[in-house]
Amino acid sequence: MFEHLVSSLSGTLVFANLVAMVVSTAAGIMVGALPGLSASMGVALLIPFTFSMDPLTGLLCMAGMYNGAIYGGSIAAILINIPGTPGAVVTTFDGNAMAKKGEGRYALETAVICSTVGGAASALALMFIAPYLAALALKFGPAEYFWISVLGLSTIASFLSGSTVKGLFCAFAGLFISTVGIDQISGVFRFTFDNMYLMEGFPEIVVLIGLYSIPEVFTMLEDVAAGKTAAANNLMLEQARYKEEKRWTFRQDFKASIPTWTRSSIIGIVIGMIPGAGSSIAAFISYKEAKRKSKNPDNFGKGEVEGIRASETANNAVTASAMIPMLTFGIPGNVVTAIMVGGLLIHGLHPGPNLFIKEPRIVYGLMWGMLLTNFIMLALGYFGSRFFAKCLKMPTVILAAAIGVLSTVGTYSLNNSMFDVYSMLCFGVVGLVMRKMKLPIAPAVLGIILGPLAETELRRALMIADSPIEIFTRPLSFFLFLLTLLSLFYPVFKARLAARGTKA
Amino acid sequence: MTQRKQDIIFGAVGTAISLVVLWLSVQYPSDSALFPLLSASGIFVCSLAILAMGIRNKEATGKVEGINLRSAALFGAVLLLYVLSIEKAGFFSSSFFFVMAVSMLWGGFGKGVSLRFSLLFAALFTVFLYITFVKIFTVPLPKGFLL
Repeated sequence: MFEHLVSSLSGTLVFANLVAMVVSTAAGIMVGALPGLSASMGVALLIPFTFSMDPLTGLLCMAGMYNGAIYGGSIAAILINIPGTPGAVVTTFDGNAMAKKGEGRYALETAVICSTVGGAASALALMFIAPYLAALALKFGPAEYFWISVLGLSTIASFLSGSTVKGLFCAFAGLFISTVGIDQISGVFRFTFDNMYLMEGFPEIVVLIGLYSIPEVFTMLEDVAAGKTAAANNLMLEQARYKEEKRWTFRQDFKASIPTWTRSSIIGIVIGMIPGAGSSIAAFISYKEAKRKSKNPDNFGKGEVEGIRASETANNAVTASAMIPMLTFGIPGNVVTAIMVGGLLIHGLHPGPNLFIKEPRIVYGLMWGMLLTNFIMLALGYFGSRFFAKCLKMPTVILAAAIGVLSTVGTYSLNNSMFDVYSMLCFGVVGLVMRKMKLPIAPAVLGIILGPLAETELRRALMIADSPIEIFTRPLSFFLFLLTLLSLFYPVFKARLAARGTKA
Repeated sequence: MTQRKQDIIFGAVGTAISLVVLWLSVQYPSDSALFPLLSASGIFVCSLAILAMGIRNKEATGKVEGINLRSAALFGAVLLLYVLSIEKAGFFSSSFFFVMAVSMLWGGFGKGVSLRFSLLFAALFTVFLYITFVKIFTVPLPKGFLL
C-alpha cells in the first residue's frame, strides 16, 4: 500500500495535473457558491470535458470540482443566507449573522480553513482505510456483491427520500433503465425495439446530465420569471459587511478549533462512509454536538464562530470518505460519487477491489488528488473569497443558458451522437416531472449505475449456487440481507414510533 | 392538484407501465428476463402501494406544486428549437442564438440583463466552446449552413 502511495505521488504532481486541479477546484468553488448549482451537477457537467484527458487527470478534475463545490456552498450561506449546496444549510445559522455583524471576512476565512481540515482528514481516512477494505472485498463472492449493491440502493432509497415507497419506486425504475440494450451475458437485445441507437443502452452520463441539468435550468428560469433574481442577492451582499480588523488568527483560533476539528472530522468521515447519509446530515450532527459541548450554547444561531467550524469541518469531511465504499466495493456512498462512477466507467475503469490491483496509479493518484485539492481550495478560498462572492452577482438567465448549452455539447461529445442529445432531453423532462412530484432522483441514478453490477453478480451467484436459496444463506449474504431489510423498515418503524409519541 | 389525487394518478400510471414491462420481459429467455422481471415487479408493487396510499389517505388534501405550463411550453420550445437547429445551422451559431434567446426572453428584453452584456457573453461563451471542444478536445461538433 505505502509503496503505491509514494510512487503515485510523483505521477499526480505533474504540471498538467496540477493545472487541472487548480482550474477544477476554482470552477467547483464557483459552482458551490452559486445557489441552485450543486456538486453533483458540477461533476456531471465536468465529465464530458474529461473524455480526452488521461484518466487520472480527469479524476483529479472531478476531485477538485467535488471538494471545491462543497466548500463553495459556504460562501453563499455566509454572505446571502442561501446555502450554495445542501451541506451548507447549517452554515447559514451562524455565518450570515456574523456577516451582518461585520465579521464576514472572519466567517469566510474560518469556513475555508475548517473545510480544508475536514477535507484533508477525510482524504487521509480514504488513504488508510480503503486499501484494507479493498483487500477484504476481494474475498467477497457474487452473492455478497449482489447484496452489497442492493444494500447501497436500499439505504439511499430509504434515507434520501421523504417516502421509502417512492424512493424504492425510483430505484427500481433506475434498475429497469439499466437493462435496456444488449444483455452482457447472453447477448439478447432487451427493450431496444429494433432501434440501433438503443443497442448499447442509455449511457449513464446522458441520463445523469438530463436528470440533473435540464430541471435545474428550468427551475432557474422559473425563479427569474417569479422575480427571484440576482438583484436580491446583490442587496444581501451589500448588507454583508467586511471589517478588516476581525480576521482568523493562528494564535487565537487554531487552539480553540482543535476539539471541533477532531470531533467534526470523525463525524463527517463516519457519515460519509454510510451510503445515503450525506454532507448535510454530517453538518447537522456536528453542529448539534458543538452546541452541546459549548460553554455558550445560547450564542449558537446568533453568529457563533464555533457553529461554522463544526458545520464546515463536517461537511467537507464527508467528501473523500464517501469514496471509500465506491473504490472498495464499487458502491457509491452518495450522488456525487455515483456520478463519479459514471466518469470512471467512461475511462474503462470499473470501481471495486480489482481496481486497486489493476490500476494502483489511478486509485492512489485519486486519493492524493482528494488531499491536494483541499490545499488548493485553501489558497483560492483564503485569498479569493471576494472574487468568488462576485459570482453571486451573475445574472441567473445567463447562467441557465450556459448550463443548457454545456449540457448539450457535453452529451453530444460523448459519442458524437444527436440521439444522445434527444435522449438527454427526454430524461430532462423525466427529471423535471420527478422534481415537481418530489420524487427523489438519487435512487434512480444509483439504480442506473448499480444495475449492471447487481444483475451480473446475481446471475453469476445463481449459476454457481446449487439452489437459489444459497444467495440468502451464505453467512455474509445473510448478514447483508438483514441489513437491507433493516434499512428498508427502519424509516417505517421510526415513523410509527413518532406517530405513537404524538398520540401519547 | 392535491397530494391524494397525484398519488392516485401516479400509482395507476406506474401500475399500467409496470404491467407492460412485465409482459415485454416474459418474452425474453428466462435468464435474460430475470432482472427486468425483478425490476418491473418492484415498480408494480411500489405503484400499487402508492395507489393504495392515495386511496386510503383522504386527509392529504394539500395542494402540490404544479408546473407552470406556459413557462414549461416556452422553455421546451426554445430548447427543442435549439437542438433541432444544431444539425441544420451548426452548433456554434445555434448556441449563440440560444444564449441570446434565453437572456432576452427571460431577461426582460434588455431590462433585466442588458442587450450589450448578453451579446458579449454569448460571443465569448461561443469562443470558449470552440477553443475547448474543437481545438483542445478535437470533438467534431455538427456544422450547418452557418457555423
